[in-house]
Amino acid sequence: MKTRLTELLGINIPILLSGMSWISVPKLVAAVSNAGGLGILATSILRPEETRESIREIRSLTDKPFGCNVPLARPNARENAGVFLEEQVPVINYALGKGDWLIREAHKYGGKVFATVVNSRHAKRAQEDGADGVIATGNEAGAHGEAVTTMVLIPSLADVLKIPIVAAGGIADGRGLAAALALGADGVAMGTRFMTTRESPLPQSYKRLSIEKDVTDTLYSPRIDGMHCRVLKTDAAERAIRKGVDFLAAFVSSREIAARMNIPHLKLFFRVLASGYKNAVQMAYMANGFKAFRLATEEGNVEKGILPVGQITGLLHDEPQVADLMERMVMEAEKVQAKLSGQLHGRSD
Amino acid sequence: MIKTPMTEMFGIQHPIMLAGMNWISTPQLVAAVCNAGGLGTLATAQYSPEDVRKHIREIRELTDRPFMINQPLHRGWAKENIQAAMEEKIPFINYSLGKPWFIDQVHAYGGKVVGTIAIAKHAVRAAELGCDALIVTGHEAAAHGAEATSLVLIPFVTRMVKIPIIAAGGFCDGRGLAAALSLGAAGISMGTRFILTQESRVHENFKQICLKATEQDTLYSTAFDGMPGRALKTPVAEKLVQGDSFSLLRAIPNALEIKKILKQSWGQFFGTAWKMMSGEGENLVQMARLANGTVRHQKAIFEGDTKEGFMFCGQVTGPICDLPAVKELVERIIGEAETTLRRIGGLIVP
Repeated sequence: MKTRLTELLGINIPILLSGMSWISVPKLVAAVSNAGGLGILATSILRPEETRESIREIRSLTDKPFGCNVPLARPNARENAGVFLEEQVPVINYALGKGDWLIREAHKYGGKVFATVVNSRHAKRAQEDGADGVIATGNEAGAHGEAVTTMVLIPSLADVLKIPIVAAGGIADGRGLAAALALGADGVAMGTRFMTTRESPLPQSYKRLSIEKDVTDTLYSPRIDGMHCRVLKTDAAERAIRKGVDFLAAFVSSREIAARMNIPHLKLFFRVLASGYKNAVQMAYMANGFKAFRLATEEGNVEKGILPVGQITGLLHDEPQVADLMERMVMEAEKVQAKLSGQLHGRSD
Repeated sequence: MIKTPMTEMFGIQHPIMLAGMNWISTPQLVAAVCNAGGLGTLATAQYSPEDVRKHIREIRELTDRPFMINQPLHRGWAKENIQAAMEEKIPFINYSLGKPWFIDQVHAYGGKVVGTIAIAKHAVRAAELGCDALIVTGHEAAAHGAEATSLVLIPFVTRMVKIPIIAAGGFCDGRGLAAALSLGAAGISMGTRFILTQESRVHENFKQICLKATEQDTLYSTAFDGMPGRALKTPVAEKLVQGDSFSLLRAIPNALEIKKILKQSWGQFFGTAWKMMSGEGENLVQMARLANGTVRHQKAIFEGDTKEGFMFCGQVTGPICDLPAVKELVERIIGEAETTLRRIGGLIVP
């Protein structure tokens, strides 16, 4: 396949691995890049030295292009982004924040920068800031989509952007890939689909759940991690949404975060308290969400963990190898193309 | 030209249909879509059986092409309206919200029955009951979509049933049509896009608000008519979502207004109210929302009343920015879809 995205990034297949904490680790990143797509490392839960190790590990596993993701609003984001620049990571993907400085620095060594956006306002700003492309996340996506669905978001962006668009949310097969291209995207990013592959570190308990569930088996709520977030519908997720903000639990959960980030716990705690009630509530959600996500993705704890997944989990029915999955998607897209070309020439089947 | 199982089944030129929208899908708009080579659908939920017959006659004066009627089965004149449509031998009957009892009768005169669903498991049931095709409504649609979005719901449902699927929710141009076909649909249904045409009777005030709206300017809530639904984000709609404290009080005159619109007798009026409360387990607030929502929606469409009225509207209002004539629109969409199909053909197999 050949699109503006494959040309820009020097890849064979216009499929990206979304940067998912605890899931998009070097092994999975390298698997996607080696299969002809672009793997993206998630760094929001990594310390700068871990980020550097991970980048080096990816380089030991593949000589193909890869990317790193950083949500700019999170602690350690600047430090991690600094590591990307020092290591001259080929593709940088930022979310939640203004990335103009990052774009400038990356362009100095020829790096490409993609902004993750959820509406046309954000997308236009990213283009003005000099981004090389956007990853557009629809409502159906796992974790943080906004209200607008991929079907509407992609053409809305295609009407106002000149830079390539990667569609994220609602895509797991060749039909979705073909549909995204039809809407005006230049490629797709997948999270939920790659989560349930052989190379993914997601524990078997959740891979099984992800295959069993239907398209209606997700929940979308701001009461998981403080932002509107789509997760697998489980008892734990429903409980968390019913309960709302839990400061006591957040105090305990934030200890884990402080330890990960090398920040003294009480310092982090008072810093959050001093930032005002509204922000403190959001931070409390974030701390509890962080813990629940870790319990799911790292420990496979179905009772207490919460897993962000997209609605497309309803279409999964197997756990393929990454390379097989991507090859299959290209073949499916070719089949769709053959069928549509028939419909275009007057064959109705 | 694009030929699909939809164009074959309905005997139409283009795989595009007009969604049945209360008060909006009028005989004029229905006939315009039919005459443009698509499938027009008359919405009959707010009509009495006499009105249904009157409108059918009007459509037949305006076009000799086949058309469809749309009727929710759970209230109002559902039984009588379906009966009237069958007596008129309407070729296609589209139902929503309820179990169809008339499939065999429609098949007996050579007609087809099309179910509207928003939840995947309802699709399987509709197919088992003998529906000939399904309209599948995604989350992004105007009014009553469920949670699953078109991009996810269409491939999911096409895998579950063999009958043709018409995708609804999120479609306004040829790119969307090509995407729907890629996902396995046989065509698309459009509501919001046809609201914004020359032939649509929606008041200019709301047409202009829709044209200026971005893809973010809709709200999805149960506040509009008691069911989860999507409406244009206007000050009235925002106020309703925050909570309308006089809703119960307002509901009484509004319910009477609906009685008048539907030309119901007092017996039928109280019968409907009783059925809603006992049979369907709806509470007073939901009933009040339905009554108020119906009247407010009407105020928007007919009077362009931005102080009291609200408008059901899909997210796709964002990319829409003109008011073409229906024929011009349908031809443009087909042209765009053909270009898009050739373009993605070149990307997939370079």
